[in-house]
Amino acid sequence: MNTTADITHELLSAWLDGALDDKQASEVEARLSQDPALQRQVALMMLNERRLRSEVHRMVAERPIPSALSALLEEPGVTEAREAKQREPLSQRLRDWLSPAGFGPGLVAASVVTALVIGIFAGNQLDSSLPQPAQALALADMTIESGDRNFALLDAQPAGEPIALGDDIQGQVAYSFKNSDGRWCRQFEQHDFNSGQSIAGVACRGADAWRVELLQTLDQTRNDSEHFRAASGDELEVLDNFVMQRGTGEVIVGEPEAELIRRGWR
Amino acid sequence: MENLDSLRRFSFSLTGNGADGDDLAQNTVERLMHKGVPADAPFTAWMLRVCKNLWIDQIRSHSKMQLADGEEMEHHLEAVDGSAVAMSKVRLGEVAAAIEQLDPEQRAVLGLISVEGYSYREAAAILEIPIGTVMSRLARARSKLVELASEAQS
Repeated sequence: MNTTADITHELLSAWLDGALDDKQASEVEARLSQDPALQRQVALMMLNERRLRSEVHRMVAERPIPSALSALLEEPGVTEAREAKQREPLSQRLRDWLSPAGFGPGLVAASVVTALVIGIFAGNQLDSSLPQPAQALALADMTIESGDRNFALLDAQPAGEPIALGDDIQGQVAYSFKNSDGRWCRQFEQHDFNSGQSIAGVACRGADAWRVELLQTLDQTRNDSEHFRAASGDELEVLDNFVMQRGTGEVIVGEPEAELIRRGWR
Repeated sequence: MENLDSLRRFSFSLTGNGADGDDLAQNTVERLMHKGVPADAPFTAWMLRVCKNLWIDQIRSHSKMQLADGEEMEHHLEAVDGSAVAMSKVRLGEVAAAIEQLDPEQRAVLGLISVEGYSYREAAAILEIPIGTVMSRLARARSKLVELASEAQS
């Protein structure tokens, strides 16, 4: 896979780890905001890392310690020295990847969150008097049918390519995947530049409509740019966990995704 | 126990499967007990360095080390959790097969930084290589995994 000429694999990899200085990071982010192919590459890199970390941790957790190794450790002289090590940003995002799908404190006021989310979907001005917990999650039950502008985003927009959903609202699909029940699903984001509100969610394709199954509000500091900025991995950790628990591991990008769009996700 | 988990994870990252990973972890503990750890060396970093060096030695000596044995992993998963891990099985096979495509040095960097969460500087110290080499090996490993994932989808 070729990376865009002036963004090397090494630069992209270091950006993922938060290892670039501010100037370099800004340059990478500027390119990312304009380059869907590069965005897809970053998405794939992050998914690969999550799988790798998840599966290695799972093997250690599930596989009993061999008796010979246990016996060795019971001998005197084996120390249990511990060190605190500073984790890099990407690793921090992936740190709790294996945790069960408990949604934790983010579920506070789920009904309010759902209302906020629906507000964004409808393109309405959000009520700033309502509590707006960052990282809040809501299990959603919302059907998007043909004719709804969000249907165009979910049904026809390739991953990584933003689309206008109104005067101040942009949407983007992050990636598509096959759910364990056989349905095709997509992780998407929307940003309201007027209010600064952003959401991310997962929707799955039914016979003729998309069903939104999980929604998450994102932080409130995203209105400082005129460009759509994809949420970072740490912002979407729980949502990604939701996807990983239900997906088959098959992520669809590029031509296979384009073919699915042409076939109407059948 | 924290150190043991870290050692086993790193061993699995290097070998790509549970049985060989545990063999490597056990060999590492035996080596540490036999040779000891220098008084001025950080224990975990030293342990992982010994582990990586042992693994490279084993590869070079054409040991019985097998990489990413899908059958063994499937057996392991069935023994652990039966049908409930059907989805995990798919992903595990994919990632293990992908790890097999990486060269030993790339696996070591990926295991330390992506799995264990070490910084570039710490990984460079453990592997005794320059930070620039850590960055380039990590970038190549990640690019290779992206390439393999893209091929798998096409």
